[in-house]
Order: sequence, then structure tokens, then C-alpha cells
Amino acid sequence: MKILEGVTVIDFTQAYSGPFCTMQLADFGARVIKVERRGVGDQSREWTPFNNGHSGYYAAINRNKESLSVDIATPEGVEIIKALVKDADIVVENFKVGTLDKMGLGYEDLKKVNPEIIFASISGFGQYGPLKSLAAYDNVVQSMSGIMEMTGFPDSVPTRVGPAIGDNFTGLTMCLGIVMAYFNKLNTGKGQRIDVAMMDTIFGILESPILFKNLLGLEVTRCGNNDAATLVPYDVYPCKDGYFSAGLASDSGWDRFCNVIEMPELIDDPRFCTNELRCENYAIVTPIITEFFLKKTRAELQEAFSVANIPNAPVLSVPEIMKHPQLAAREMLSELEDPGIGKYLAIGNPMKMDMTPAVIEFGAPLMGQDTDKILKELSYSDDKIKKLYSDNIV
Amino acid sequence: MKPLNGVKVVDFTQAHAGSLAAMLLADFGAEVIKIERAGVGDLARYWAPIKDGESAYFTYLNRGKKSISINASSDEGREIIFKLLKDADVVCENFKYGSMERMGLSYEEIKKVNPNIIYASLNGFGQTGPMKETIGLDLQLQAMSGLMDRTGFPDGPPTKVGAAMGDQLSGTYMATAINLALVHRKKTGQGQKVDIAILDSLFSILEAAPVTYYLKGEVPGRVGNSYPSISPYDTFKAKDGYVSIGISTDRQWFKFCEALGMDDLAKDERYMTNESRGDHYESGLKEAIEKVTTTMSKFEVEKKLRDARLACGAVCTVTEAMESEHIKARNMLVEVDDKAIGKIKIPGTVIKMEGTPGGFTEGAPLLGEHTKYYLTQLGYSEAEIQELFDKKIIEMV
Repeated sequence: MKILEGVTVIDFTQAYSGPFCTMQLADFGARVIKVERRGVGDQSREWTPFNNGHSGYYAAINRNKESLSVDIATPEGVEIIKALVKDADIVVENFKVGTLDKMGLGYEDLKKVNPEIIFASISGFGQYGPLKSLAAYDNVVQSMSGIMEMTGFPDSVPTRVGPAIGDNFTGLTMCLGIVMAYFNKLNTGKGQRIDVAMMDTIFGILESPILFKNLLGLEVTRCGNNDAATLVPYDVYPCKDGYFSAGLASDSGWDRFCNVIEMPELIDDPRFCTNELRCENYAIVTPIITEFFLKKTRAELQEAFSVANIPNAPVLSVPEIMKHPQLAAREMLSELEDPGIGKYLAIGNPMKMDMTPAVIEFGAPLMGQDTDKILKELSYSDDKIKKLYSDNIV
Repeated sequence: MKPLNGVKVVDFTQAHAGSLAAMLLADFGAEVIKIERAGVGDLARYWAPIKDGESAYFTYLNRGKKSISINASSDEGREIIFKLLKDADVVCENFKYGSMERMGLSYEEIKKVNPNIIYASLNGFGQTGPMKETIGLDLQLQAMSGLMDRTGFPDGPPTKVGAAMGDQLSGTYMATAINLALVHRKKTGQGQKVDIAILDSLFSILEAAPVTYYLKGEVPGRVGNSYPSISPYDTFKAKDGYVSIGISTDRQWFKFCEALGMDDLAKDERYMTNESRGDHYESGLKEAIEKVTTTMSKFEVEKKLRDARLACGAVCTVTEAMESEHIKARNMLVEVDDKAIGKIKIPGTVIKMEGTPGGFTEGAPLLGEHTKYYLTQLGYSEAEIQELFDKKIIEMV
């Protein structure tokens, strides 16, 4: 049993944010029909890495979906979309604001075809507000929201979060909105419009600096990998084979920490004996502590700190975490046969539900692979389908 | 009308991630009844920033919720909790693995009184696997997940995200999973168990790195603020800060040169294509662009490029972002009159639903503010409530 079995999603999204959103819906059983521009397709089909001439990027976020390739800028294309929307539950799009309206496929147009439709728009800055028509890349949103200013080291430059969180986190947030709207539709029969912006999403997670400013008038900025204003030691230290994070979650435990790092003389050192003093003397205590880390490997450090019950973790590379037994036990990676890139390890869905688990059934669709099937379902005759092909509509 | 009106959540979460999930449910109309330990309450009540002993962090995470303060390890306390659970729809918790079971509040126990309950757990490593009992703080989970390894500069250390990324992300996954479970229950009558791990959540957002490793046998190193396949896509120094730019086509490149008055660069043979710009980026192009951007303020560069319809954004401090007209227009800072800390603006509701908008009008509850209300609703008499209070089973305001 899949939760969203029988739910149809007409998915205009491309690139990363929208496809990440609709992948969640597909994982839980929704039929996601990806509408791709005829001849071009989702732009992420061009993104690295490639295998057999197909994009691994695209494959990783479009599994479990179908692909309909159609030119939606033609009247025939619009007609096909409207026929699909008639029996659909959800439309998702991440075009620039107003693009679908111009094509006659905006919310108002589609509501006429299906008054109960849920119409979800993901964009850089949202459907209203002074910046609504701006183009947004992830780096632009990360810059403007404040997250870059907050990430990195105080003596260095503002730093972008490596993965495009402006895209994936916004996609997930929209997924939450869609599922709530669908729950509401089950209860009331009513559809509605949802608007989620990358800028709002990333700004919204900066609660700590926002609250410091609003409550105390204090402006806080990036602090690297530590939290030296409130907790010392709580940091990432270079070690023999990489980097290692260790820290005390409160004032207590300094004696245990000193014993682990084989420097018992520091326990009663008047410069470091309380958390407050250590915060004050962060620049002095850190190089002393680091000496120990430099002599040990991550595995040795993990053993030593775990025995002493001090929160710790190695900084792992992507290949290392992919091989970790915890992720294996959580079924966070599973082999999938993709029609484009072939066999690969697909990332599992983090929402673990015991009755209705996410199911990763098939790989990402080849461009337009489901066009024929979908048109037939809409009762288009073979002749008519042939004509749509020859007229370059599908 | 909000989409989750009529949904009752008995909420054992505290601190950040789980509490955030329940906050999202409360924003959209669920009745969230926070069960807090008598005498102590949620840990987040002690989190900075603090003014006059009261935490704004707590206000943010617990706006619109109700609070019952109770000693859950006493028989009378447990009885109250089970009465509440009887007609609840959802239970949320984010304790260390096994804690709920020790308190007699496992899924199996609660199912006995409410077979269709949705029972959602969240913690660092989840309810299964060799590390399920390990306590992970945000720093540790960012370190292990690969997210830190992907963030920062090639010649610098792995770098932590400057927000509680693991908590925010996993809390959002938990709220989504609870809503999926509500949909399933609406259709079939069945409840179920939901299990969210912060580590899984962070691992799920590494973009193309995992598939790249699988296909190519290696993952390119972290790239700082640039992006290897698009040039220039980077953050540049301005007179008073930094500005980020993304130029993805040759046409945009010429518009970019024109907008910033860089005629010499537009004519330079080395910079004619995206590929050649990439080849010469570190060996001269970046420096040439910064020579120009450093003569202007970050907002000046932003304006010039925006007028040319190019993707760009000044690197804003959080204060600058808070003061932007756009954030105001989007209602992303909302003032509440909190009973503990008074009037304060806290981050608003991100998901804008036209038909059933979310939001909040109240701050966070005082510890035990709603104890009496709910006990009365459960049929306890005034005298019984007083007795429970005298025996220190419950706390009231």
C-alpha cells in the first residue's frame, strides 16, 4: 500500500528544487508525470556526471516519474496539458513567475478545467514581493538570505553551503505544503494555490542570528566550526588522517576531556578550568588541544572520546559515509536500474514509515518515454498521435 | 480555516528538531499539546538569546503550542498522559533512543489505548542501525553526513553550515512524514510509526556527490564559492563586502562586461566561451573581475547587474536581510506578544497557502500554562487537580 496511490501530479518542474519536491511524492506512490519541453527536456539532463551519455544528476532526482515530452507553447500542447490536469490532483512548477500564465496554463486557467486542483509554485523569491521577477541561482539566494554571511571562518570570506540547499530544502518545504493541501482537499474537497520561495526558506532557518538581533540588538556573524562564544571545547580539529569533531555540550566534562587528550595538567589550569575561562582563552587553549589530535587518526580519536562519553564524530567524505554501516542499516542506499545511466546506488528516502514505506521502483524516465501511453490514456487516436509527432508538438 | 484544524498532537519533543516539526504542525492549525517535565520544562527554555531569564529561541520553536507540565514517571502522571493520548491523532518525540519505552510510552503501549495513533520519532541516527543509541549534536551529524566535507574551500578545512541545518531539515522531513501518515489514516483508518534520523536527512541533500562517486569512483573536492562547470559563478569582493554572480551563457557574459564597464574583458579572446573562461578563471579572470568589483559597493554591483537582468546578489548580513523590503513584503518576520519575553519579531511561516494560510498569533506557552485546562477537559475535578498539584504531579501557572 502506498499513501499517494491514485494521486496524479502534473510536474512542470526542472533543474533541482522542483524535481526534489516531486521525487518525494513519487516515492510515496503518486503518479508524477513530468512535462518536458519537446526537443530540450529538463535542463538537468545536461548536468554532470554522465554515464552512457545520460546525466547522473538527472537520474538521482527523477526516479519513479514518467516523462511526457510536449511543446506547451502550442495550442495543441496546451490542450494536452488541460486534458491531463482535468483528472489530476496536483500541479507543480518552478518556472520564472508568470511563465505559465503567459502560456495560458496559469492557476486561473487550470482552475477552470479542474476547480479542485492544488497548484504549487516554487521560485527564487515567491509569487509576490518586490523581487518576485528576479532570476535566482542557489548562490544568489544563499547570498541574499544571510546564510553565506553565517557560514565559514571569521577571518575569511563568507562561504556558500556546498550542496544547493536553496534548492533541495525549498523543494522539501514545498512537499510539506503540498501534502497538507492534499490532506485539506480530502477533508474539504477544495484545492488551492501554494507559493514557496527559496529566499524565504533559507532566511527562515537563520533563527539564531535573527533572535539575537531582535531580542538583544546583537549582530552575530560566522564562527567557523566552533561556538567559541558559548562552548569550549566544541570544534573540528585537524588530525592525522583528516578532521575530527569533538565537544562538550555543557560546562561539565572538562576533566574527562583532558584525560582523553592525555593532558591532565589542564584540568586545574587557571586559564581553562571553567567554560567561561575557556571561551575567553579560546585562542590559547585550541592550539594546545590540537597537538593531541594531530598525533591520532580519526578511528583512534573516535574510540577514545566514545569511551569517555564525549560527543564526537569524524568528518567523513562522501565515499566514506556511503560505506557506513549506519546508512546501510537505514537502507539509505539501494541499487536501482536506471534506463539512462544504468545500475547505480539511489539515495533512500529519509522518511521511514513502517506501514507505508517509500518505494523506489524504477529509474528516471528517458525523455518522452511515456508520451504515447499518456496520450492514449487521454483517448487520442493513433492517427491524431501520429499527427502530433509529425507537427513537432510531442 | 487551517489544513490541520482538528488534528490533536501530544508532543513530547524538546530542544530543536522535533520541536520544529511540531511548530510547523501548529502553524497550520494542529492542536499541539506540549508535555513538559515538571520543574524543568523543555531544554530550549534555557537557550540563548536570553533576556530576564527567558529564551527567545523557545518562543520561536513553540509559538502557538499548549503546555502541560507533568511528572510523567509517576503513576498519576502517566494516567493523565494516557487519557490525553486516547483521542490524540499524533504523538511526537525526539528523545534519545529507548527513553519513551523506559517511561512506558512506547508505540506498542500507546497503541493499546489508541490503535490508530501516528507515532513519530526523530533523533540523530534513527530507531535502527548500529549507532541508534549514539547521541549526535548538530556539529557531529554535519561532520559525519558529508555535508561539511562538501562545504568550504579547496585549500581550507571542511566547514560547518552556519545554521542548525540538521535540525531544520529533519524537522521538516518529520512534519512532512506526519502529514503523509495523516493522509493514509484519512483513507484507511490506520496509524503507523514514523522514524526520522538527522543523519539520513543530511545525507539526502548532498546533490550529485553520491551518484558521482558511484559512476566515477571519486568525488571532486569542495569548491568554495565557485562552480566548476559555469564561469564566472562565484562570490567577488566589493568595496564593502561581497557579491555573488552567476553567468551561465556567453550572451550573459557580454551583458555582464557591459554592465560593469569591463570593455577590455569583453574583447579578450581568452574569455569568449564558458569553457575558455573556466580555463583562465583562477589564472587571471577572477582577479580581473575583482579589480572592478572592488571599486564599487556590493549593492552598487547588485543594482548594475540587476538592471542588466543578470543573476546576482549582495552577500547580506542577517540584519540586512531582515531589513529588506522583500522579506517584509513576504511577512517573513512576524511580531508576537510572548507572555515571557514580551513583543518580539520571529521568523514567519515559509509555506504560503492561499486557501488555508498558516501562521501564528500567539507566542510560546508558559510552563504548565494549560495544565488545568486540559485536566478539566479530561474530567478531573477542581479538588482532584489541586491534589495532583499538592503532590507535585503537575504544575500550573
